[in-house]
Amino acid sequence: MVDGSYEEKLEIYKLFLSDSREMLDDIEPQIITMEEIALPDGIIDEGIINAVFRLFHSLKGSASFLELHNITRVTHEAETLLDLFRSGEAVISTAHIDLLIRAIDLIRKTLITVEKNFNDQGHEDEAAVIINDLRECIARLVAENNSPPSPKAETDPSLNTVADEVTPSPEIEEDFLSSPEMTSCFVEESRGLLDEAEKALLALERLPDNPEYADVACRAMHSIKGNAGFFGYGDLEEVSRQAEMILDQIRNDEKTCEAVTISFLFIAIDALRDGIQQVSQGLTPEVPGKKELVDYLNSLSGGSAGDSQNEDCTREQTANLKLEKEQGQPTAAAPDQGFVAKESAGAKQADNRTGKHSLATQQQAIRVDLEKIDKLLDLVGELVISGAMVASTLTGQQLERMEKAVVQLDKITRGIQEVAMSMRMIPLNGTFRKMVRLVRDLAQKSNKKVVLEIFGEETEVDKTIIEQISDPLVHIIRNALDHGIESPEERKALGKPETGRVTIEAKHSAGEVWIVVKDDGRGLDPEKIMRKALERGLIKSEEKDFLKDEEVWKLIFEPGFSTAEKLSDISGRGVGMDVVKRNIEKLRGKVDIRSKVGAGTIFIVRIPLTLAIIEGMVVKVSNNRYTIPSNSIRESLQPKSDQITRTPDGLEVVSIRGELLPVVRLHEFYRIKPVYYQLTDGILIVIETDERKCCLFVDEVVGLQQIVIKGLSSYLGRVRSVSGCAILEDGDISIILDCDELINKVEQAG
Amino acid sequence: MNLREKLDEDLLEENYEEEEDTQEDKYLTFVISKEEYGIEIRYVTEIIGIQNITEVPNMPLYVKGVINLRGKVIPVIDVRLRFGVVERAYDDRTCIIVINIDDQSVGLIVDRVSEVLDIPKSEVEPPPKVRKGESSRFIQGMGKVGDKVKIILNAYQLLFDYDKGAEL
Repeated sequence: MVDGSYEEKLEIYKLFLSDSREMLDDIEPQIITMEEIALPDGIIDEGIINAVFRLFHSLKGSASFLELHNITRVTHEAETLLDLFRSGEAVISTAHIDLLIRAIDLIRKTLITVEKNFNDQGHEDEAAVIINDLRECIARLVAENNSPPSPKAETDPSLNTVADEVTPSPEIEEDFLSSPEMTSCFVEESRGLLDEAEKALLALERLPDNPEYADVACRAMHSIKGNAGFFGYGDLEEVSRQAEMILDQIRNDEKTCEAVTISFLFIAIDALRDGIQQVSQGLTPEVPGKKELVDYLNSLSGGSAGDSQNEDCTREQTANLKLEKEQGQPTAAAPDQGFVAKESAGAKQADNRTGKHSLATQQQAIRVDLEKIDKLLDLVGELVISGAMVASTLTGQQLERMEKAVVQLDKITRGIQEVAMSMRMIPLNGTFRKMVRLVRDLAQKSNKKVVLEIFGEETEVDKTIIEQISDPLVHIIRNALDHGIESPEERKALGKPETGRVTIEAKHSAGEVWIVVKDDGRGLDPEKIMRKALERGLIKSEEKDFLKDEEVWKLIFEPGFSTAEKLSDISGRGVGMDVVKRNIEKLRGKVDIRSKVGAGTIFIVRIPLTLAIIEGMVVKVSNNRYTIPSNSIRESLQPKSDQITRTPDGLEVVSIRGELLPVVRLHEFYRIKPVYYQLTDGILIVIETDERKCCLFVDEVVGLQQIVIKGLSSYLGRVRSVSGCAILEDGDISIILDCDELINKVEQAG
Repeated sequence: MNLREKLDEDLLEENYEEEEDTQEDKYLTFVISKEEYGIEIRYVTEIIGIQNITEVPNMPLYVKGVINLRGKVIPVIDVRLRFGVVERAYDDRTCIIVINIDDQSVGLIVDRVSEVLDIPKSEVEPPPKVRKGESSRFIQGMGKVGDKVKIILNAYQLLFDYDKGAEL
């Protein structure tokens, strides 16, 4: 399935990458929770460990399907380790958690390579180190474990690699969401492969010395194994694995090709074919008598060919198996097989149930291309606009029923718009969970004790915002950990609990989303900040006494500002907080700081719910209508002549309640002929960004409006001091002003 | 992923090409100050009358602004100004030819639209060697129709060749 056109390949890899990353994001916080829960008394929450185990297993399955061997091997070892905890054979400790986290990091790193090269080559050494560590760890745990070996351990010694697949639990299979197309593709391909293998085997039977046929069959088995593993068909995977092992030995001349071996391989192929048939009927395949078959195959590959007793035994068993197959029922001579068959029938029922279950969950969520949703949003936006246009042409006309219909239409359109918008909304939990890992790492590095508490992670935000909010949050949390939370000793001396507390909370508030990051550390010291700011020339000494606390806090957002006395690994280089501010402003959001020395610091990040709709004030200059985002507007006024001062070089300044603000004549800025030239005739709009204010002079204010932001055509490129455009209710286009750039430009010109 | 789908895709592709084929050698012709120009029909999406144009600040003169075409914001350029021909007031024959190149829709303001013409390749001469004035770089060839000559324009050049010389 990995073959095929480049596009198909790309698609499969893309799916794999996004799935894997999701899984890793999922695993990580769970592992850390595992540590928190397990460490005090060594008791492990079974649900969590199963979940983590499942995720690793799924990852392994898909990686082996794509023949990403490094990932497959690392996940395999991690799985084995987890299995020890799962079966209660070992007690989890920090070292193990570290090991698992290292494995995750390596996988993440490898995924980047996969993204680039479609393979995971180049990470062999790193993988080997981790695998080695994991193996040592496993060996140690097994050695320490002197209690009688569990049933699982018994099957272990000879076939370490197969150990945990012998009992694939139903939950694991449930995890795979395989679409019907994928399944039918699998069925078709597997049938082809089986035919191929059969043909090769027949040839091999005639010419046992020719390794080429064994090679063909071996490769076919390998592919089936991979695909079956990907779909989580444990039985098929195992049978094909065993067959592959035998064929591999034949191919490498490690084993002589005897008739009995070939017959066994034929049985294996038949069994696989039955299994595939079940898959095509929508069932989870069960290979009847699988355990026996696998055991025989295994003994064939493992046992020496010269051992006659062994061979006799297998010969007999071959016969049994054949008989069983022919009659479709276990023979009386093999009562234990009957038991197996019954058991598997029961398991089949269970699997049917889980199959249905997974179908049901499948329907609850589907993956949709973001582009499609955006297109839908665009269309809905247009629908809203055209609806408004219809409504506006209706006013004043006596069409009662029509009007009613339009009102109804409007209601429905708004409804559709809301739903379409909500499709772009995803919860913050993914972003927040990443912070769990961050806090753990940072705390460990700086020898601090910190608990992270998360509230409101289900709060939903626009996808674009989610993508861009993570970075600023990381910086804020780093800052809290590095500068905020004190060392345990210091905290003790201060009479605070040794363990510091950091909370992240998300909530909706008046059309905005608030993300509040709180720590109970030492707080921001205004004196220290001002000293630093003076040193770096960010403020002048005469300003110092006029600054309010809030203004002082904001100084930490200045580029190049850092109060850390020494540079640490984590933060203190003075980059970071200015990034926070810049990134959040890009999202049209704001950051507020509250802090109290000794008590802690609170960062309040306020971001709009969505980037697509804003409230704006439409103003008019001549016939042109411009839109100014409401969040930049402080007030609007008609000035009196005694408020206006004109400097000799023509700069106009307006005094508003003692504040002197420069005036920007929008008509001059855009070189158009206005209706009014006298400031006292028109309207002044006071805009503010970044504590910088100025007045825009316009002819008149049209009104406040909810507007759908549209980009100007890419053909025009980036237009300075314009952030986009909006379609007004009458169908005309209004340019949206970028106040920040506008002020910048005006200041530069001055 | 399966063969059938692939076949369908191939078939579709063929259909698509066929459609392209029928568009070959066809040109939409329009007038700018007495001269007739042609543009390959495959770029043209529609022809609309002149509309309210919203000015966009800081643009080259020939970029008149943006229009709202059924909810889509598309820029319009005045071909007269692009050629460096004197501007003229828009009237009821003024048209906007909406063309689409590389997924970008742009409107071309022209004096009036004439017709769709078939000009076989054999009737298209290369542009004159002597280069003169603003507009020669937009010329792709000279199409002969009877005893008349239509100037065939290179749509790419018309849209994307900013006044590079002037900018540098």
